[in-house]
Amino acid sequence: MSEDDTALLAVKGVSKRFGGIEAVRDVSFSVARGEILGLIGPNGSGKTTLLNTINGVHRVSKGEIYYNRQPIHNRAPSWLLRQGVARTFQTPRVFQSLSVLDNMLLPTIETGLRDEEAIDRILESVALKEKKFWTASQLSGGQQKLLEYARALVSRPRLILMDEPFGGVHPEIKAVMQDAIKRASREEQVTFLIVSHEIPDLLQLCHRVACLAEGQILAMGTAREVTADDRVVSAYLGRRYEQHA
Amino acid sequence: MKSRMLMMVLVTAAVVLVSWLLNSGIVSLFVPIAMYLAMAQGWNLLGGYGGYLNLGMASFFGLGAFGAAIAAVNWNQSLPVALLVGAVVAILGGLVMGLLSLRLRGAFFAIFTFVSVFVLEAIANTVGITHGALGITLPTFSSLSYNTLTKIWFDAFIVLGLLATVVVWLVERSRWGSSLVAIKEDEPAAEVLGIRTMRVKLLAFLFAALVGGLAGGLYAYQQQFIYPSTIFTDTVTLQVVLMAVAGGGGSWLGPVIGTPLVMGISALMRLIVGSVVVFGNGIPAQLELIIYGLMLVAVGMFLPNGLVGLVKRWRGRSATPAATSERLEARGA
Repeated sequence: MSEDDTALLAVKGVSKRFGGIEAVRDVSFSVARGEILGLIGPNGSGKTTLLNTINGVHRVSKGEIYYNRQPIHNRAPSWLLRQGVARTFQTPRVFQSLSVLDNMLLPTIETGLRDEEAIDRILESVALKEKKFWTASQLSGGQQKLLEYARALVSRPRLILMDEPFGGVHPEIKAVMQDAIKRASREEQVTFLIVSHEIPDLLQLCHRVACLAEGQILAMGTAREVTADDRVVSAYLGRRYEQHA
Repeated sequence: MKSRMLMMVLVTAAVVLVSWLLNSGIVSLFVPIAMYLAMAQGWNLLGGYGGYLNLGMASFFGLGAFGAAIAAVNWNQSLPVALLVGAVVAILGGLVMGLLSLRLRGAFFAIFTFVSVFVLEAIANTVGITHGALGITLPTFSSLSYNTLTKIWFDAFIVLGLLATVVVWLVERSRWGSSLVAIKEDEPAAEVLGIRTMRVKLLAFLFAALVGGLAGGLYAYQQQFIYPSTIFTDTVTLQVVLMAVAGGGGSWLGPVIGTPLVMGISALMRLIVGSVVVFGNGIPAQLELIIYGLMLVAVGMFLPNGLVGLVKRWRGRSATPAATSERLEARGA
């Protein structure tokens, strides 16, 4: 049995073209159940485009994407959510005029998985239970990121795509989120694909890391292997992360 | 919830009862307010909560009016059947318009719905079934006096208006309401959360069509004579939008406040400005449109969230997050 057959997510030869620009070029990789895969790379390397393509926001120009051995490329984001693929964004996209609870209930509208006890548990795990009835606009930027992550968990996803979850977040909130991610991966076998520029965070959080440059995967492996790769150092890091590797 | 519903029923019954105690001249002043309350609530779901500027309420109104009139005159149907036909025609029209336009966003959706009014007017002026530009004269209720009829029409419109208000009130507290707010704030993010945005928007659009169609059908009977240029007119749309946004779009209370307010200001302005002759007689002839246009600009500039938004902002400034939290908890959010 090949690695792709056991993987939860398999991306096979995916390219995404915008007119004359090929933002993602023939990218292939797979992510196992419960794995946390980090995606690093310089700005404009195609990381967010790749997430958007997996998530159905963009149609693939070429290639195939499999989730649980089922083809999912070009399916709508709402359909993907019902299959267990959730998503968070670089800038938290919580609904400002709704309460924290109403934000949490939104994904249950179509999935029908309304379980207020579970919602309370999730909110508690990200230290937002006390703010359940606050409107989202009353939360800080970091708390809004936590809310967005908590909201992604409500639909009981098997795969969560996260775009810059730690960018500009207070260290305390970052620690809460990292604990929650590790717990979900370890205890519930939730799979994560995390785009981030916060290299030290990814090094201690991710099982594997992939580096994207000019739309192609430059290197993929353990954090130690990738950060030691000369091509990654040259294209992105600029120096070696000796203290973490 | 049950007590609030009971209260709405009692309020409706009380308003109906009072209408029979008042002079029909006074009641006649409130007939357009009751009609526009219904229309503004119909518009409110998609326009106010969902943030889709629907400028096609006159299309639904006209489809309902002509649907009912054709059923009554061409097919000799009774009033209830004619109203039902009008509502069905408006819903079918809404379905076609919605499927074509709800994938558009922002100004493109607004332009599509705005243009629909002129397209339907042109069709109604051309085809034989609507009697073209000559219009349709509906059956009269000769056994009933003018006074009685005025009160009956008021009651019919006010019941429609209050029913529409109850529906909007219920939606505001439902997941459908949250979905519409999510669509207004960030539609792509709402899609990522699994919300079937097209279905949610289409349902809200069809609610506007249903209420607009019923109001149009009742209006046709009340006026007894309709022709395309007075029914498919942007004045209807402009008034509906203004009444909803002046009170506060995205709140069930908005149209309840906005409709009498706008009608009152409009009547007052007509009295004051109407007596002043500016640039000959041309200006007074278009005075109503000028007043509504100016009011819409003023609301957009100074009250973008309407009077309800103003009160909310004032309460929000004076409330701590904890106080807001208590309020929401008490509301059972």
